[in-house]
Amino acid sequence: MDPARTRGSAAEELAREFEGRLVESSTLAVRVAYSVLRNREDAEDVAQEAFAKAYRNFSQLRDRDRFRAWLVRTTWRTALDRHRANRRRAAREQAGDAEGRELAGETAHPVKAGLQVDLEARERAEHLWRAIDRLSEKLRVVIVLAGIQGHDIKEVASLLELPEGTVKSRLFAARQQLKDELSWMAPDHSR
Amino acid sequence: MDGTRPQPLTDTQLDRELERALGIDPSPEFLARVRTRVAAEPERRLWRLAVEPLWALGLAGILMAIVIPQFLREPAVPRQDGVGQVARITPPEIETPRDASRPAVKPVRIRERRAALPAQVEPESPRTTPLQLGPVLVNEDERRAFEFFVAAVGNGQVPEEAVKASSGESREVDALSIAPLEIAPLPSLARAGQEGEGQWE
Repeated sequence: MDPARTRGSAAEELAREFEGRLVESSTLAVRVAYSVLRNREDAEDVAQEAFAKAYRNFSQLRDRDRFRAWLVRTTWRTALDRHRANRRRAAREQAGDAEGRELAGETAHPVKAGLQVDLEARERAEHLWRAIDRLSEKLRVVIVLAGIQGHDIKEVASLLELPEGTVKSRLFAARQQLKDELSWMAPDHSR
Repeated sequence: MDGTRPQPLTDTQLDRELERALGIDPSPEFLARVRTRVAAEPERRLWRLAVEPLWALGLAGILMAIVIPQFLREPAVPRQDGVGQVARITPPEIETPRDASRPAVKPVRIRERRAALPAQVEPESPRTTPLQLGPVLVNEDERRAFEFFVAAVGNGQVPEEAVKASSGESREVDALSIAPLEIAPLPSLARAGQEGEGQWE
């Protein structure tokens, strides 16, 4: 058997596998990054970086569940790093500005990017993100992953490599906190 | 304010809000950008990924080829079919004198008999004999022959010439001729001193 042909076919097989993972998990990575950054372009940059890292380590990430869990963790960490860097840069540029103004500006950006939501929906989203930001990181990542693509507890536990019971209790706590803070959004609140 | 506590969001409503907030899909160019970025990665990386398992397999194979035969190697036990056996030494036969005219003691005659090889060597069977370490390192026949010899010497049945010959007393050693050692002066020392002078100046 020709060794060069064998190596070539193995490399092609790896590239094909990676392409499958990329197509399958691109939305997940972008949404995870977006939940931290609230900016589509930044989120895509971070997701792209995470996929490049995944490609470099793909020999250890060929298992689907392992790949997705690794991708979520890496995207989340990279997005947090980017968010902190953005905040530092914004603080340098607008010394003395309050964080609330900055967050509002970041939240407004995707709307300008073409989401075309109405003003009411935009306001609701801003409030929701602020409430999510007030959650601890452990609760935040659970509620975000559960809200992405309708992941159930088992899937979130697999992505975070945590016991299902832990995910369930954290999800419950996060929901309670969000529901309390966003009670004005309830349809019967205006009555 | 109507004084009533607002109703909290239901799970369904919260999920709907979350889905709406997180419903961001990657742009159409995103996949193309990632593919471009990945393609810019060194080509050899994928090669290395593909070859790494082969290297590991090869290394494991070499290690197994070295280590396993050492475990499987059997001890060198004598073969049961007689092939390759060392010639066995039978005990010496001591003959007693028959009449008075003949010398009282007759030299010990040691005969060596080669172990009879089997007429037909059977094909070698699988070597499954367990390890057997003999307690005595000296051949049993040799030991018995030596005891016979010592007993014969003790009884005066061995001629004195034979004893002397075996002890090496009759050998004559040629005188050694050693030439006297001459110590000559070392002329190279003086020359070396001259060569080293002024080397680092």
